[in-house]
Amino acid sequence: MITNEDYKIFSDISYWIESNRNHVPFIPNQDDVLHSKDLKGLSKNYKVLKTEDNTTNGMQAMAVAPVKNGKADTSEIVIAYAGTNFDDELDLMTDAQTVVLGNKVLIPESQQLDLTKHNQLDELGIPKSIEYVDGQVMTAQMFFEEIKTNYPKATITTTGHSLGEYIALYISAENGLKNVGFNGPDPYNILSPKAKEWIKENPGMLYNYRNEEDKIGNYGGNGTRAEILVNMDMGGHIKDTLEFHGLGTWEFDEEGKLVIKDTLENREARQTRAEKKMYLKMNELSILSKRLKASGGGLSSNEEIFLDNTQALLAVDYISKSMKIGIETVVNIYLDAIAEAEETWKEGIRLAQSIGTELSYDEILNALQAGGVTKHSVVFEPAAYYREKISEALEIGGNFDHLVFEIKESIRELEETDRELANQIEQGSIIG
Amino acid sequence: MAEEGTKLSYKRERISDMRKKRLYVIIGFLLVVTIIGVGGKMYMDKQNRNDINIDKKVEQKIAKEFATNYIAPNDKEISEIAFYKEPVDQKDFSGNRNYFFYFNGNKQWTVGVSVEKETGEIWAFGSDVIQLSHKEKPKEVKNLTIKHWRDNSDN
Repeated sequence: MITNEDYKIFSDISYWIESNRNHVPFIPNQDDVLHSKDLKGLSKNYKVLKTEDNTTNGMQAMAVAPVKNGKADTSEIVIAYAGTNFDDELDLMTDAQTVVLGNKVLIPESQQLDLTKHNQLDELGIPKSIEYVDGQVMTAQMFFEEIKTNYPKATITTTGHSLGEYIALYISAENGLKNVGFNGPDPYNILSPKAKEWIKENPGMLYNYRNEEDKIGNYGGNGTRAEILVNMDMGGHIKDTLEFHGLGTWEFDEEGKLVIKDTLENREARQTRAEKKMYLKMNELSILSKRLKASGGGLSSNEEIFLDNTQALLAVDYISKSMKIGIETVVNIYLDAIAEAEETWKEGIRLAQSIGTELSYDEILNALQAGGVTKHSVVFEPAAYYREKISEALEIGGNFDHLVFEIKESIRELEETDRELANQIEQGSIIG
Repeated sequence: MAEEGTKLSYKRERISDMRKKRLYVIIGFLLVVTIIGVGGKMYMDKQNRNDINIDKKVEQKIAKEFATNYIAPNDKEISEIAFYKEPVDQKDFSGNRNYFFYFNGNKQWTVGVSVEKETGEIWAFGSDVIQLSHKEKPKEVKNLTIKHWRDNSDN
């Protein structure tokens, strides 16, 4: 499993790929091993499969895979994209032209002032007389495609920080990949209709951790619904805006999970994360289900399928277990919220009684109502909303149980149809 | 006539007063600029001294941690660490400040270190030229010589 902290470290290290930087600890290169002993918080060793430092548009990217038994296990690959380097004009131009203006191509600065002189536009809506280069999101897509071609069976995920997360979110949405990143502006305005549709259907795949006070990372709204907006309790001074955008502000627990402090301000962030996780597990199971249905022909067609099915059963059990935990977490968060609403109301009444000692209970209620505060608005309305959310979670749980049952049944059916071959495989007479 | 003379003298006095006022304003302005300049310089010097002291403390921590956990490529203990380059903040939003040293007097054995500036946590050791090797068990080095960037006469 790749932890949140692993993703953070890859986002951090991707800044070091730029070859003309001489003030970084090391420059990651292809075949380098990133050792967990050298990089605090990394859960295991990772091998660098490929890096790219595009000097035409300023993009840097790195693909890594976990090392298992001394070799890169390319069934899982993370692609990390680098954020803005203040010293790199190309990065600053990308911030302005892509993130702010929504252009995927990059137009050299010297030509921008003459835009009004040109009137013939090409298919991208850019004056024909202007020379432009592929922007960072375009070469990021090429980088992904190269990795996908070289490792077709890999489950690829993306990450990044700031501009890097903007690019990573774009690549994930366009190609249907999981993303975990930090302080990324939202790339929804440059996404294709297909990617926008995918986002709607896959609410658990994108995790863009943002700091409530970070004016830079929170740019562009939340069209991708990737945002998990965390209150970092860092104060709200404008002068610290750059600090709020920092990658180093995030904390992780011993298991490498990003810490969202258990405060009232963070309730929504915790709810969002729990819901996303629940949807993600559901998604994993659907993928498994599709894979099993695709194998269709039955067990006898290939002994590998039998092995796949055995692994599938294990995976179903694992996902099923974590899904149950996910649903429980979601339900508990909402139950807590209902209890907190009740408590807030009681506390409010107690406070009002201590101030207006001469007033009766009814008079206090009337006074509160005059100020727009009623038990209905404080307790009943939020409680109804949270109960609705609980029902949704339980319904998803019901669908999930049904899917688990179907998958297990289909695996059993496959086994039944060719028990003899299964026995042979188990006895090792077919496999080596 | 006498009245005109009085008026003229009055005018001259006003002009003289205005000149004096202008002079006072200019002197006041220069004084304020000087005070701000000197104060600012003192403040910046103090900040620099603070930054240097912070860097020295971080270098100390880095040296101890490295010597405790790593061994030299020739399998010998780390006995000396020399910071050869000024520490720098990364020019991005990562919040990292990076430090650079070589060890045991060998200028080829260069190592880079990344520190989270806000917390002072050392989170990355790396090198472009050597393979870093760990001790089997971490062990503190007692007579470790540390040459700080600011004091290192070799720089």
